[in-house]
Amino acid sequence: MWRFILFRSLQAVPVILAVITVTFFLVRAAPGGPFDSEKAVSEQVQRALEAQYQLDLPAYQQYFNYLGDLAQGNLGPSFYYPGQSVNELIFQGLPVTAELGLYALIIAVFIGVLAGVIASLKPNTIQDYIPMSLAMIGICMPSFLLGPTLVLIFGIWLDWLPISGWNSAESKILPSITLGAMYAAYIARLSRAGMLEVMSQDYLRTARAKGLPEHIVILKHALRGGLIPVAAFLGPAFAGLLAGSFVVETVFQVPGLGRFYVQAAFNRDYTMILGTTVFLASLIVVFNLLSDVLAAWMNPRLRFQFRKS
Amino acid sequence: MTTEEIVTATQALPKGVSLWDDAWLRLKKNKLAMFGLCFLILMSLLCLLAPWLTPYGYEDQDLRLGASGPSMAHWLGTDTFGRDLLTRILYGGRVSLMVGFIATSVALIIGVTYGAVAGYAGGKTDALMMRLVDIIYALPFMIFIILLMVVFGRNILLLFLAIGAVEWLVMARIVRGQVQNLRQQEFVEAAISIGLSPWSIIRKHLIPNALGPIIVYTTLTIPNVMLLEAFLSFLGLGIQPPQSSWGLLISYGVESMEEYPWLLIFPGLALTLTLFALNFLGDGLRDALDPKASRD
Repeated sequence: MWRFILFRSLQAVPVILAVITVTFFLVRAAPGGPFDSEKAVSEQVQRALEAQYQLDLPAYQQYFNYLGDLAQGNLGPSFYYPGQSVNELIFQGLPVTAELGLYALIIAVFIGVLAGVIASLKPNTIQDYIPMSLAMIGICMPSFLLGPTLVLIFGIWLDWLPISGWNSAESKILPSITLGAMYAAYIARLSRAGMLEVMSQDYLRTARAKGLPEHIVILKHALRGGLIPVAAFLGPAFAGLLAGSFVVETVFQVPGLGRFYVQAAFNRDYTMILGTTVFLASLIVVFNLLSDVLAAWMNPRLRFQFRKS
Repeated sequence: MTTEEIVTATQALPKGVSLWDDAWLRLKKNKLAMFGLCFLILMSLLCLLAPWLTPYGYEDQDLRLGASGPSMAHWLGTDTFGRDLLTRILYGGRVSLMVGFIATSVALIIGVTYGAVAGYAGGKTDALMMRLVDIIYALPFMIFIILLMVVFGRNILLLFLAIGAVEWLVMARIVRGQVQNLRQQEFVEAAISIGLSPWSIIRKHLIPNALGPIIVYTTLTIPNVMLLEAFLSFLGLGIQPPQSSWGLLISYGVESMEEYPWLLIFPGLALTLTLFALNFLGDGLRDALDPKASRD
């Protein structure tokens, strides 16, 4: 198991390095500098600004400086908000996004697994068709459409819930559902397929032959094997949740990281874009790693594969 | 036996059923998939023929009318400038469907070529190429596309390339797996022995044999691509006005949904139903062409 974790951690290093490198040079290659505003600035001021942010150095030197700063956890100053560092801005938005993502993930896993398992118990009956059709709607209805539709129904027509913001408990319901819905749908499909696969295996027949009651067979034996695909999906799902939170945060005006990122993109705040990209990408890589480890823990075969090699 | 008799005897034999006929029979039995196929054909025709079907242009304003609900003159109502919504949805559909097909083609070409070369070459080349795919796969692409659109401007060609560049990875993996299996078979050895070049073996023998999974995955890629385009257009980073797409129409609809809900509902329905149809068709094709593949 430790071998597996070590091996996968080492694999993550080139990925993160690639993200940093690609993003860094992509941002540098952008036409128009960060200080090209409508107001004409004298050449002297321009040069002083560039010197202050070390933009006058050759690109490779800037790159290594950036890597050096990064190693110390410093993402540099924001170009757009003077006097504020990217670190400060990220940590302002992060708790909100993390909370939103957590609620969405809980909704997605809970509803998704429940629907998938219920559907798998009686395949090709009404009990299968209804949850799976709902899952199809969840997949085909993107969050930027689902969010406004929910607002229209529950916020405006029925007037039950607030339509935007992130301060009261009620205001957190719609954003979390909107963000979680699509992943609930994917998880429902994955857990249905996984459960159906497991149900026909010999070890379940053995469990039944021992005379175990059906609910124990399902809860204790089938779930652990049947949900492996779900565990492996949690990493990519988390990445998707972060990207999806851009939309949900924009629709519901939630002051989180996603909104900062989209704003930074429109403001051409290059250090902010760079810092946020590197931060989010590293987070995603780490979560992919965690979800692979979880899947390996659930599937003994995967673990032993690594022990032998 | 005379020649004539042989000819009649051969004609009397039952016609052979090819694998493709077999798959088509299976697909025809799948009602949801056939519904999807018919819906898509109808939708594509309506969007293609839009200029001849509606009496309105998609920028024709009627400011005196303003936003009005569905009526006999305007079946799906009009927007705040009095523009006919049905016309705008059909014209938007042209862009959305076109992005779906073109960007998927980009992904298809890159993915199939890359995967086939890696699978055919095998050994170290293959290991290196697939490791590269793994690394790219782990990059957070949504963030990169947003970055690309911001940095290099909102240009439709770049949009195709960016989306295509994201979606080719899984295709490459699928094709490489197929080619790797096929490469061991005798007909490939035979092709090598008569001196065919690797490129023509890949093109004429390997890719046609891997066509089933390629078609299935292509059908499932199109809805992803259309979602991505709609998402970018919604953020204001994709299709730019005066051009229109479903994502853009939805984002306009959101702005005024309180007063004029139909501006959100109808474009939303157009997008959702099309994605529905594509997914049903994709699932049906998977069952028809590749009965062993697991559903996930």
